[in-house]
Formats: sequence, C-alpha cells, structure tokens
Amino acid sequence: MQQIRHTFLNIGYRFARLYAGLGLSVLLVSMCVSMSRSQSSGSHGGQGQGLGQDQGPNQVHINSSDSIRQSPSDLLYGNIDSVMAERRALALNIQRQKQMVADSDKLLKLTRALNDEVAAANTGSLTAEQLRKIAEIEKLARNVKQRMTDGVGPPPALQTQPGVVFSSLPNH
Amino acid sequence: MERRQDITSQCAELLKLATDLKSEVDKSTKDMLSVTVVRKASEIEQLAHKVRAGSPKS
Repeated sequence: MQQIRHTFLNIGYRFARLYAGLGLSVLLVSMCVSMSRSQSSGSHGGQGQGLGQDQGPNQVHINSSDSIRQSPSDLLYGNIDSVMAERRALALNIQRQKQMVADSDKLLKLTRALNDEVAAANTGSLTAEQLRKIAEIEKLARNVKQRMTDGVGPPPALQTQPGVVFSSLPNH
Repeated sequence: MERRQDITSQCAELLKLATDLKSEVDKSTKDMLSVTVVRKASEIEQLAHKVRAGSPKS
C-alpha cells in the first residue's frame, strides 16, 4: 500500500516538473517573440529615418504609418525650421524698426524745411517744390503707419486685442 | 490773407505732429505696436493731403 502511494507521489512530482518546464518554455518563447517584434519595429523606424536623410528634410513625412510617431530627425528638422523662422522674424522686425525710424526722421526734416519756407515766403500759395515736399511727407507718414501695423510675427498685444489698433483711427 | 494764414498754421501743425511722431517712434521698440504712432502718422497723412489738395500752385 505504501509502495502504491509512493508511486503515485512520484508520478505527481514528475507531472509537476513537466508542467513547470512547459510554463517556463512558454514564457521564454513569448519573451523571444516580443523582443523580435520590438527589433523589427525599430529597424522599420530606422529605415524611415534613412529615407528622410536621403531625400532631404522636406520629405520626411512620406510614410503615413510613421506620421503619428515622430523620429528624432523629424524633431531635429522641426526645431531647426522653428529656430530659422524665429531668427528671420527677428531680423525683419529689426529692419522694420530701423526703416520706421529713418522715415520719421526724414519726415521731420522735410516738415521743418517746409515750415521754414512757408513762414519765410508768407504767400497764400505753395510752390511746386513745396507741393512735392508735402506729397513726400504724406507718403512717409503712410509708410510709417504701414510699418507699425505690419509687424512681423504675432505680437502679444495685437493677438489679445486685435480691434484696439484700428478702433481709434479716424476714417479716411 | 486768410488763405496765407491757413497754410502757415497747417504747416506749423504738420511740424508739431511730425515732432510728436518722431518722439513716439524713438520711444517704441521692435516688439511694440504703438497706437499713438499709427494715429499721429494717419493725422499727418490726412493733413498733408488736405494742404496739397486745397492749395493753388503759385
């Protein structure tokens, strides 16, 4: 009787070892499958990156399947584009400000000269040269107004209150 | 006589506006949108147009 019991126990022990071995092997196989999948997706992303490098930065987003996941090259080119755009906007803004200062300076000089001439002549009419100066003054004033309103890039004050700039202007 | 005074006063007004405009432009920065500059420039433009349109050539 005891021998039969010992035999059953032995068989149970062997089954337990067998199932443990099977479970371990299943676990190993699943790990291998997941690793191979991650490697294949990594190589696919690398291929997309190679395409982007070969064909230039403008054609990075060719594969629609990669559009959701951004590769490092996409991020790099995006950053470069934004930095270049910021630098360009800054340079244009500086140039715009310089031109505005030069225009207002020239406008003041012309107005002062015109005022001196009109005060010295003291007649009821204007000469052709004075009329030309007035036309130039008008044009310079228009340029200053245009340059001030045409700021490069969205200034914060303009974004928050877009109607303020034009609401108080007199009508033409 | 009245026309002469008009032209003289209008030119003096132009000079005052231009001086104000220059002062405001000098105060402004590249990142700033000055409503005063826009308004002054618009006033100069209108006044200059008025002087030019209403003045007979000598």
